[in-house]
Amino acid sequence: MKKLAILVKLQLSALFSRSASSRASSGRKRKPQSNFTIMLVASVLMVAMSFFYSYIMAEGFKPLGMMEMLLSTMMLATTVLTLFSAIARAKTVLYVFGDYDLMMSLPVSTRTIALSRLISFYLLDLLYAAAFLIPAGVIYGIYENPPFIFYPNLILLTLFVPLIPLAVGGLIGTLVSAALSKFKYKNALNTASQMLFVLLVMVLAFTMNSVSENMSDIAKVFSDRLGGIYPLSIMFAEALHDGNIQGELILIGVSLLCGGLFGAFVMGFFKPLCTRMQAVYRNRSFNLKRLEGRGKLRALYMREWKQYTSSTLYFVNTGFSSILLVLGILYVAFFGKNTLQPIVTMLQDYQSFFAPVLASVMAWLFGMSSSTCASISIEGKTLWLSKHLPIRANDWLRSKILVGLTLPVPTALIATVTITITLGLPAIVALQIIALLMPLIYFFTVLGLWINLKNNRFDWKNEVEVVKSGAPVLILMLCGMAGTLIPIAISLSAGISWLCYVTSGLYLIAGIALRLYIAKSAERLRSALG
Amino acid sequence: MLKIEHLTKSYGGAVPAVSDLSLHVMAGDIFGFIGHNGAGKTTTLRCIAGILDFSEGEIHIDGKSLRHDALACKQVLSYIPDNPDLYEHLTGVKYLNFVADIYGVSTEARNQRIREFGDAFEITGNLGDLLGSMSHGMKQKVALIGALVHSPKLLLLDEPFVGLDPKASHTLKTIMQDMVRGGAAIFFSTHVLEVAEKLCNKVAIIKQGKLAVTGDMDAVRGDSSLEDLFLELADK
Repeated sequence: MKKLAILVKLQLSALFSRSASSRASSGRKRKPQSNFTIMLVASVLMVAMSFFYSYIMAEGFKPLGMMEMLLSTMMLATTVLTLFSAIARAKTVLYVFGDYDLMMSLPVSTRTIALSRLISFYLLDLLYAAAFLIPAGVIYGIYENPPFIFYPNLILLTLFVPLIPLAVGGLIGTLVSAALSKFKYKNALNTASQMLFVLLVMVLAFTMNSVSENMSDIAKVFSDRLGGIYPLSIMFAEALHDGNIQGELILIGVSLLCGGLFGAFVMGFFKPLCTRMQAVYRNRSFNLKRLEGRGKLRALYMREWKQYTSSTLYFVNTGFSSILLVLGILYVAFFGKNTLQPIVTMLQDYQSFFAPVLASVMAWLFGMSSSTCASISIEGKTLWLSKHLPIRANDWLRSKILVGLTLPVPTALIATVTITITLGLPAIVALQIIALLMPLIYFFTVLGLWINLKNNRFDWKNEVEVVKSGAPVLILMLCGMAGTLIPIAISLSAGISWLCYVTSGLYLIAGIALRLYIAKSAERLRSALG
Repeated sequence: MLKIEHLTKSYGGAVPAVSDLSLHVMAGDIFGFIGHNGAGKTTTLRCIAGILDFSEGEIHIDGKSLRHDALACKQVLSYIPDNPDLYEHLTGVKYLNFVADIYGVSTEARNQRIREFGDAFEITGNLGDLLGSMSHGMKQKVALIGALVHSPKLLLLDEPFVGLDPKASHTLKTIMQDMVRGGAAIFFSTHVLEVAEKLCNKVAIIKQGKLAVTGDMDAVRGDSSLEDLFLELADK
């Protein structure tokens, strides 16, 4: 037990950057707790945003007399996010970690090491679950004034909510990674298969079950849809809202069963799975062909792009939202057109807000997940190459910005055109969306880079430490959430649609100003790294 | 080729890692840099390579100041650390092509040199593998080829023979000697004093961040061996 606790503590320390003090190349000693403090602040702000979202939803559900849907919705959101996260993280958190050799050579049983990895796997998602569910529960409590037992019940159920998606996602991630481990393009195949799976889940979820034909019966529609996607979300709400003990016990029982089975599987096959996952493809028939030269910036960009796409976790965590957006919109265009067009007709009086709302939603997706917020830290131990090779710091940073824009810009354009055609909106709306959206995409890309330049770490052993749980990631997520949704919220409540155009203009100016500052200070900023 | 004047590098502690170091490496020199663990060898090399800023002093490479013309200095030098952490997501050949692009090596030259050095180190057939899948020695070889692909005027090596098999070590020594005959300079740190004695025409010994002795190999060691001199200095 003691050894297990030590291992878990070590892994969590690495995840939350409680590393020993390091020396920057300029000689400035870095405080050991500074990264942790920033993460703590960012986490608190994230919880605050979660409260805000729950409040907004509560304001919508309360008049319809369906406050329990707040709980179901947040539980479903938590489950979906945990599922996708588990699929992407399974390989790197459970099986392929930088200090594997050291761990396995210690006088600790393999089962203990496996269990420690499983606990770390669970704890990170538990934090995310708590960040969603506890605020939702508190808001529910404020509106509905439930008996006191509601709160300990909420905390208890929150502990179990991540187990099923972790088990399912972990198993899928494990099986896919293990199956593809010996292929030459295993990372690309891994990424593609994970994305395909996620799409399959979404398609199945949205085509399953009946939907009330009467669109005005929103409560039933919503409940039916939610229950169809994930019945346990309804059970969760009923356990808390109605005090349904039977439902609660079923939920806890199923969660424990799934978690237990997955845990037993990982602990039972840990070493062979690790060996298989760490296998590498060797090209037995390599022939050195003629190499062609490229310009410096192109070489930097291609290297950066290769790094980005080679890491399943990095790519799925940041680029997937772009692809998902386009595929989702294409799906709606082909299969859901008839459902959406009546909504558009109903909202004819608010036409001036179509472009701002659509642009804000898309900007929210892109803004929260720019690749640039981990693009400095991901250099890791190879940072010395960027400093030693004859590369201008500004060119190096420019390549990261270009990679950060590579997916969002074209997917934003495709999504805009598709949704405009699908909803039967005039062409001018597409231009408006683009004019509103592109400055935000640019701003958040540059901002992500700036955040990572000022807050970074290079001693990571696992990409999760910088791609998923790093402070810059959290900070950008918060900035993205607040920066995209607050302006539209103000604009909607004030009834002034042109406010969004002014905001976009300001973002464009801010983005350009920040980029110019980074360009001017590039050499100094790079010297201070590491 | 390399002129270090009063180099001082501090990491923020009371004692600087390198203190008032001055030495001169000429074209045609194979300069050995020796010292105990933590003496300041790697810090010195990393300062010259442009990876670390330094508090005081000046470094000139091929007549250009590293402080004021870093890009031009980096263009003519190459550095290989003791543990070369390379881009693991690239194959060996893609890494070499990337380095060649950064140094602006012509298509003909890069193809000729990569094949030549790849064959010399017997690694051409493995250049299609991901760097992440290679052993330390194989990565070292790829790093060496990457360092040589643009025919640097100054080659900086930190413990270059660690991890290399005997044949590769011999090949590296031959390449080093060919380079200096062509007018380049080599500045490398090593703990293997016999290699330093055989290979180097000049040597510097660093102790606790300060230069203890420097000069021609024969003049520095006199009638004793380099090992005896090193141990003598260590005891002082």
